[in-house]
Amino acid sequence: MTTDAIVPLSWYKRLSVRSLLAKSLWDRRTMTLLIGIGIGLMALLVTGMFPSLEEALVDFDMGQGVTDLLGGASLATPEGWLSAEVWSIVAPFGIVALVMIDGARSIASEEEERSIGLLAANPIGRIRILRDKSIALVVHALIAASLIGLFSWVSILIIGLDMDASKMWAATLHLAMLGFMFAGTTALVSTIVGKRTHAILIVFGIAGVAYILAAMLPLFEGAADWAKISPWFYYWGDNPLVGGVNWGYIGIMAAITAALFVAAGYLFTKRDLPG
Amino acid sequence: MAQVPAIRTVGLTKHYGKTEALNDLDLQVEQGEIFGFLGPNGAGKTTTIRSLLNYITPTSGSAQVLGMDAATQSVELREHISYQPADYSMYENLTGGQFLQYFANLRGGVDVGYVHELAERLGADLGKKISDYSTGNKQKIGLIQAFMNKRQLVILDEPATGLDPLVQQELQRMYQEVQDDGRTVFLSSHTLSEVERVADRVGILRQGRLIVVERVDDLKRKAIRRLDIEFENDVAASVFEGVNGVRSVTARGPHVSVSFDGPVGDLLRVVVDHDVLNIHSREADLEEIFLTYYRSDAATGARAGDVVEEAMPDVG
Repeated sequence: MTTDAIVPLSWYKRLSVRSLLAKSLWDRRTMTLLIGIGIGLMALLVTGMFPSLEEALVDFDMGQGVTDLLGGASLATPEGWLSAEVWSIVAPFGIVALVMIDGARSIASEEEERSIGLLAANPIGRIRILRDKSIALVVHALIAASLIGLFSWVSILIIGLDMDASKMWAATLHLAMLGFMFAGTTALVSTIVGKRTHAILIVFGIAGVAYILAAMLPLFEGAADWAKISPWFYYWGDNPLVGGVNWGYIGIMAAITAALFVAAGYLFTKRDLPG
Repeated sequence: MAQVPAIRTVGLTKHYGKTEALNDLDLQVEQGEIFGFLGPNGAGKTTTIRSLLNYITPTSGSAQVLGMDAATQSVELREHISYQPADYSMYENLTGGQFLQYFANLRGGVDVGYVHELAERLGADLGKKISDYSTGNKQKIGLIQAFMNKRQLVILDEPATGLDPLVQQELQRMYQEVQDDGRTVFLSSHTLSEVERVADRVGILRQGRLIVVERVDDLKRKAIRRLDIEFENDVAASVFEGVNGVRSVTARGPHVSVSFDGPVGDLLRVVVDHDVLNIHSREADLEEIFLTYYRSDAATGARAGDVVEEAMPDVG
């Protein structure tokens, strides 16, 4: 055996095929960067608009429901404005879209297109296949969330908004955890259905229904507590831009994520594979 | 100490709902063999391979590969095997070279010189993107992947698909080299001519059941052969009814084809009772043997020892 390259490759291409984990990380790098930088640039733009809109927003009454959706922050505050324009919908759905497409292509497509037949013939167990692909999924979510957080943090410092910029990292942590939860959901669904489109549609459906539950249930008297059944509640139920990191919620999201990946691993080892 | 078999299955069975994909398969393949595993699509060949690789869990029965249990030691046994599936996709965004590098890395490295030798022999261009390859060229990359690691057992599912005859010949030399090296080739195919040329033994699967395992030579010896006879005048198929060894007869005016097994004497005695213009004997190839085993009883009405008349109406 030698470690020579079969064909001459640039260092990064050589690195990209070095292992299953390296290849999984390399795949979907463009989408990860596009979502992270794209939403980050949007955050920069939105932050820059706030000073000129601040006065007009003072008189803008959104109603309690929308205010609750923004974690109790008024739209006339930087925290409320950034929540409404970036962090309550665009950023989380961007991250969910990333892990949903990434996970389905990484796990379900491998099965659907039967490349798993070649991959699984190597001396690597199914758990390792799923583990490495899941690690890549989580890393992609972390990179995209960090880019959004970084752009937002820099924006606040540049524009000089009257808010604690460090809270942006609390929001980033919550955003990353939301991404991890849906990465776990995608891994689980992908290992069950083994088809990319089905996996994406199912996870999209779960994310959409869960979001509606988290947004709508607090509007009904006596039903507010039921919003806790939605994973979105733990993401933005206690606006991290206002209150900072809610470690309890982070713990719950971490536990849900772990349970989802464990269930995915169990099912992936038990079911029949094509190939 | 006796060598463990390369493959051993006992009562291996796989059902998908009510569909019996594989039924009670008892199979033993020795190390150092080239074993042909034959059957048309849906016969259970790929299901067998997938069970050996632990891709699927058998409904019942067990499989051992190189003495290791396929279900509980699957990762360990994959250290010693390589596999090319029949129906698979490759990572289209990689070049052939990157693809092979990736699979080499998954196994901890490869003899790069041997990879290039295989690429040259098969005429594979490693610099092109896989998405730009033809079906045959993709197949070549898959084959290099299966051969490059020099594993103890090489499992190939329909390996000749899309390959031109010259490359197929080279592939046959590669099987032989694996065997010369004391290693084993498990060759699943419905390209019978390919198996016939290289395999020591063949197993024929029909509807999930293993119906025969024989040495190729023995199978041919027992096989049905055919006589094509041209008579001076029309001869009815019924003339051959009851003749010892005759399995089926097709008569078209003066042209008669007779399939038979066993000694040819009784048949010839009936033939020479008529005026014969020409007679041509064909040795059975595996194709014919395979079809004999595979053809359903209902379709042919044929069983060993029966005489079946497939007489065509006399014309003219």
